[in-house]
Amino acid sequence: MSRSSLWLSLVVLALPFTGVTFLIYETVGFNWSELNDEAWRASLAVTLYVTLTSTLLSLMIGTWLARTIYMKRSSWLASLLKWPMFVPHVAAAYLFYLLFSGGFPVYGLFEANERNHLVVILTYVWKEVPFVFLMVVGTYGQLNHGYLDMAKTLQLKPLEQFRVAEWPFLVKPLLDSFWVLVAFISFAYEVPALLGVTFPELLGVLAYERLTTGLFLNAFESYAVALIWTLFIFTGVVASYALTAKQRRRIERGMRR
Amino acid sequence: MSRILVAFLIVFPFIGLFLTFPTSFSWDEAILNTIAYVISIALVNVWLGVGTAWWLLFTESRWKSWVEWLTFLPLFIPVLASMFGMYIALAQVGLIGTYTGVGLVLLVTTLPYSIRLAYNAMYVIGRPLLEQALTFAPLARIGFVLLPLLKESVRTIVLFSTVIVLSQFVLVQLIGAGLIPTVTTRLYQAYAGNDVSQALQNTWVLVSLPVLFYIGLGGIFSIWIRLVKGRLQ
Amino acid sequence: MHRLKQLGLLVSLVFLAACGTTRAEIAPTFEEAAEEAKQSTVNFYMWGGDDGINRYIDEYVAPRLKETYDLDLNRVPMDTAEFVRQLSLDKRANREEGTIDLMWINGDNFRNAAEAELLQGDLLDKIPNAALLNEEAQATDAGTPTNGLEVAWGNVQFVLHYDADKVNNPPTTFDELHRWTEENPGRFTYPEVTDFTGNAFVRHLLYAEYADTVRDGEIPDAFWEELSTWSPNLWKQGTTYPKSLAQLDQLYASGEVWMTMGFNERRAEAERNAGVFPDGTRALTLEHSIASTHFLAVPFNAKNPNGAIVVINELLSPEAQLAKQDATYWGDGTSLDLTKLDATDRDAFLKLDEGVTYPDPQRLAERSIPDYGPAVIDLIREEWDRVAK
Repeated sequence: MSRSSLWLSLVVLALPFTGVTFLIYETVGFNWSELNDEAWRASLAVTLYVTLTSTLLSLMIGTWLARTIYMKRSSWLASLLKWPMFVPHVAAAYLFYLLFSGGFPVYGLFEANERNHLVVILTYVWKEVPFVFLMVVGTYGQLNHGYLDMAKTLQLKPLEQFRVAEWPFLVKPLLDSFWVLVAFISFAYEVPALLGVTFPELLGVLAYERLTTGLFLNAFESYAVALIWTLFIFTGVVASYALTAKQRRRIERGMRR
Repeated sequence: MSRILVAFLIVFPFIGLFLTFPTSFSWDEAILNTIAYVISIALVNVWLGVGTAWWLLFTESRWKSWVEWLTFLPLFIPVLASMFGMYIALAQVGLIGTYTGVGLVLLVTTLPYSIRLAYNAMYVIGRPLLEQALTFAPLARIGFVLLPLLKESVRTIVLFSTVIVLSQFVLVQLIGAGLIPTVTTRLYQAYAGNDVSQALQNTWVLVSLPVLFYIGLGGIFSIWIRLVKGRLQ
Repeated sequence: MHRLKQLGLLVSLVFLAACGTTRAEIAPTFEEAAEEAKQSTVNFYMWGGDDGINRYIDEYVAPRLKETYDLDLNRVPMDTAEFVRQLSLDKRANREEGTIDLMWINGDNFRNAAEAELLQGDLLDKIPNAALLNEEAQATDAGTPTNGLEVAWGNVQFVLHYDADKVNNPPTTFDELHRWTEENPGRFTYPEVTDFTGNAFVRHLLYAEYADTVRDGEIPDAFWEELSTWSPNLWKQGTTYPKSLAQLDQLYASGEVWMTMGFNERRAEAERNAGVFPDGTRALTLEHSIASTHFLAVPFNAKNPNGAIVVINELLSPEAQLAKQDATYWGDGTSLDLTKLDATDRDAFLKLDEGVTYPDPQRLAERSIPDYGPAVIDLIREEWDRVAK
């Protein structure tokens, strides 16, 4: 049973790799200096800002909520927290657009289509916190209470307690979530297209736009950006997993009860 | 207190939904396509996700770490980036503008998550418990042990694949060559256009589909588990 | 191992099936084409952002085709640049039997498609009704010669519309419009220049300053500096722009901005009648207005080119063109030469010239100017970022 599904999975998952191969093939001979124009540079900056802010906020809030809910056994909040997961990103973006574009009295700092991209970040945080929560809460469920009790007995400060008794077990789920979110947010189209501004645009929006506004020459720019970005994320994933491999393995052994 | 605040922040974007109510609802091609895709993609995801995760956990092979990376890395390939290459590949085998082609790329975007989710769940349950199931015949193994044990994970896999499928616009439009309308492609045109109430109606459909599936699946599982328990007694 | 073999067999079967296809040919005469096209389906790819246009195709054209030629018309809504992109990928993948049979295209998208050899040629002699075409409109598409690669479907001019209940002294020139935005900050904007309409608006400003001197594609820095002075008084202080004309229309409909714009001088009538646009909507003709023709084309790998020919011929018939120009559906100007029609048809067209939101046809015609070529369109796209910044 498992072997046939493995084969089918591998056939299906070979497709995105074909996509990357195509990008490599298309960008042979591309003049990379063309990417050094202002639109791409500004796009890179704002993409890093939006991606990292939303990802880190989601990770922190998600972990904090998982911890709170686990400690206080607040099951009503846990089930409420699932709600945003039922909303596809496109729909979430539209709901936030409706609320913040002027049809609703939440004016001021937060407004759709403004340069600080606060509503974009808000949308992502709202959508991704439940995801992080889901990834992390399992770890808390399995957490060996012995560690926490020991940390308390040693009279460590709360932060120290967290660092010693919880953090090591959170590394793996948080690392997983971090890269999934970074990969997703940094090259998505729907949310920033609806809530972003004309300049600077996020990478996904700019790449898609240059592909479809008919300037054929610019298609290669988009392919090149997509390729570098994918390889950049791959490198980050592989490097961070390699660096933490030893620690994670040690912890995994400790976690088995 | 802070919990009340969090609860409020979670709930308030839903206010947008109530700016209008769907007035009319009709079963058109787009809705039927969407439901057909959601159900079949979810089923295939559960099957392939659990099967592949099983292999990854319990089979000894020298290819194992390679396979792990192969199933893991697609999580980090942006859909937008791999889309054009997939188009060329699928055009070679005549799958552009077909239901199969669109189904295949929807599977591509969901399967890595499902494998991961199934893997994590089975890892937590642990080898000893699952290994006992090997003594059963395959169907019994799935029905009496795997599904009841993995109940929550299966629901999560279905939820994830449903929501991801419902989010895809660019991909369905390109690979389906516009010939396969779904709620999302229709909705996207309504978003981009003038019609707030039509866009909101489609948003209602997009939000309620995953909810219905999640609740429905929960119901089916509890009935099934009651049946299984009844048999055991 | 056994499974591997099965899989290999399956894959090679699919490959064989895919390689057996060849390009479909257009029949030598229209009658034969109509015969071939019976009981077939034509996939018509077109921008789908306007309800009136969609209804014209679905409710008027499709039933007529079914009745007269026993042919099914399948309207596929998609952005023009998107299906041109799809065709170019088809070309790259050597896909000889594609999905698109007929498409609605013009401007830089046409230029791109023609350059990449994505279109079938010699369309005109295969279509009887092409004899009725306005030859001037048919000759070039935004400066690019059409060479029989596309057939004129409609002919329109660029106008602005404003809400007369809010705007008391409407401007009469682009300069006055600039001053008007300063007096009414936040009440005017235009779509991004990646949008067809937004780009055209900037071309009008360019024409107002430099007329024909910039046709070769060199835009002076002074122009961009001048355009930047508009920004502080635009909607949201010019920090962002509507992504599409549809979004601008939405801002106009909700009263956030007081003017909208677009190709097609009759486009506001149906919207006003439906209560989407404000009651006070009127046309605003400034000192000049770009005339634009939009076209129909058949891609190189159309599966049903004969059906496409039949549909084009039907779309060019005087009755279909008349229904298109009527405000009930679309209000799109005809691409036919009225002097080539018989007297009753001609009168029917002339009768359509009345509408609350229509500009004075004579004045509009006097101020008509030919479009800049695609080089200028590209240049505006590339350099406008300076203004948006």
